[in-house]
Amino acid sequence: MSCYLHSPVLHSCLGESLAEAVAAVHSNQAPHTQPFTLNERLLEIPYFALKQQRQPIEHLQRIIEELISHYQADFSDQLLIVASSSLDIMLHEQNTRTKASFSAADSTPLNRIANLLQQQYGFQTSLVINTACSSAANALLYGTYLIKHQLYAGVTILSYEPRSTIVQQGFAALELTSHSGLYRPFHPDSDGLILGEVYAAAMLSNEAKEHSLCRVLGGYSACDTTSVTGTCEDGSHIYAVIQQALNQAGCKAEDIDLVKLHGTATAANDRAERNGTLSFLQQANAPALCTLKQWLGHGLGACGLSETLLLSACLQQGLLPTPRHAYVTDTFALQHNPQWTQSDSLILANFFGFGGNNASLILQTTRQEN
Amino acid sequence: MHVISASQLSVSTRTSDKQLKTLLREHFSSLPRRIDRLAWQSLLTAAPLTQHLVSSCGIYLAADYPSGDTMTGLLNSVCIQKLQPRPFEFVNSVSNAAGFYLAKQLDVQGPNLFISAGPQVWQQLLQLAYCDVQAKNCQQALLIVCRGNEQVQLQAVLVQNQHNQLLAADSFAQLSSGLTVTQLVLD
Repeated sequence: MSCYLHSPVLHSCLGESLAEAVAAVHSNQAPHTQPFTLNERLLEIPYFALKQQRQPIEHLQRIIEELISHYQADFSDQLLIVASSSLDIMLHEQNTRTKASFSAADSTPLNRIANLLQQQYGFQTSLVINTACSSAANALLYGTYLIKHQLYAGVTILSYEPRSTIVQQGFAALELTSHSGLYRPFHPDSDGLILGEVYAAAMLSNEAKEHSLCRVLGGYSACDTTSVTGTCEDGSHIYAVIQQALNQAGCKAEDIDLVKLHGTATAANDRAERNGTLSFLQQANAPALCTLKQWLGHGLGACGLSETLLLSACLQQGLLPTPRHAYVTDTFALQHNPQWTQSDSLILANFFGFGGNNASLILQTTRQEN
Repeated sequence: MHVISASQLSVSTRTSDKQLKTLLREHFSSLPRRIDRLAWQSLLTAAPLTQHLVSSCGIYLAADYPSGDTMTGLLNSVCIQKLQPRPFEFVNSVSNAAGFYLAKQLDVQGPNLFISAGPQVWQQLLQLAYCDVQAKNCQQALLIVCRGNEQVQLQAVLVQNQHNQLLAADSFAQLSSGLTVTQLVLD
């Protein structure tokens, strides 16, 4: 089981292209920040935002247009998977403000955007996956499965998290958001996460393409029923998911060159992930470790794709994303050396979310053809 | 794959959450707290299938709308009244929370996916479940579809592997043909 991920498009707080995002990481350029105000407490909370604000549907149309113009993409034999935890939430927020109220009858179908894009661009069919922060990771995993079983010739994944008031207020109300603006996963003084607005797209296929970034070798996704807001802090569920992901990809722990941590920078989740992945650090040749949310913010349902794209593109250019804020953790030795010379590296990529959804993917970088 | 058992529930907005909980107590000795309507309804639809469930079961839940009561409460309090959202209301607004409560209450370990219920929802649920069953990620798959915003119809089937074949069906009627379907209508 494996599929090539190609034709990447990324619009994020690091710019409106993947190349801009890679250049920003290379030059240690700060993400574009646009704080929001927490209701009632009137605190300014940092938020990593796109420079240009548009309606989500406009953004999604723009990235599909980029797929068409940059990669000559043809969607007629493609399954469109839309992966997001927010979907139409911004439309609902705008309508609520306009009408000064919201009722259940104002709801839109969860597949409204996917259906609209399917019709507009001629996709064979469409599917919406909403499993919180593992949404896009599940899109990559199940997209690969569906191609392997020859149920679809190819899969196009669109993942996005818009600048939603409900999401901003919700995470801040749960006291999970950073006030300092220093996004420092696994740091003993971390004060939480910074949300990030992001739109990403890429295509999965059986064959390597000119613009292939990496291969999805396998993975696993399962539900930890410990708590709806997080996983078991002893890391046992995360460990089990990683082991099954390795099995599915036909790999062993010692084969892994790099672990892309989920690294939310929230205390409970960092503790759980540290405990679940410690065995990797106890190997003779421990893999390198990296996190990406300090660059992109926490893109929630989209992070599975946006982080995979940014990491793969950086590695193709010999660059390992390092922490933006220099520090040494007492738990994880995050890489501070930005050089990455290995080709065909095997990567374990973790994505965990609300609703107990834990997913791990095994990826392999591909050589840059262009 | 083949279908082991099936159930369906029809429920209107006139039926209270309290009534749903009363009915659920006939199946479960304890119930979760602070969960939303989508989770209550999904649990009540799945409850008649529990006798056939094994722990290695994936849950594949689809709905065409988010939970109306949760979204109404959140949007009005945050966008109009400028209040902070109540934590459980916010967490429940993540649609896969219903899948979490199903897995916890049914005590199953396995994949857990929430998708939108588009026109090909049964085919899509079967395809996703087929992928996991073939990969031996789970032995069974519980598929649930919730349709409607006010008068809500839920349908559930429990499937397991047979001859490594994907079930070719695109409706609940096709899937449950020949089975005795547990039905509950609440008005």
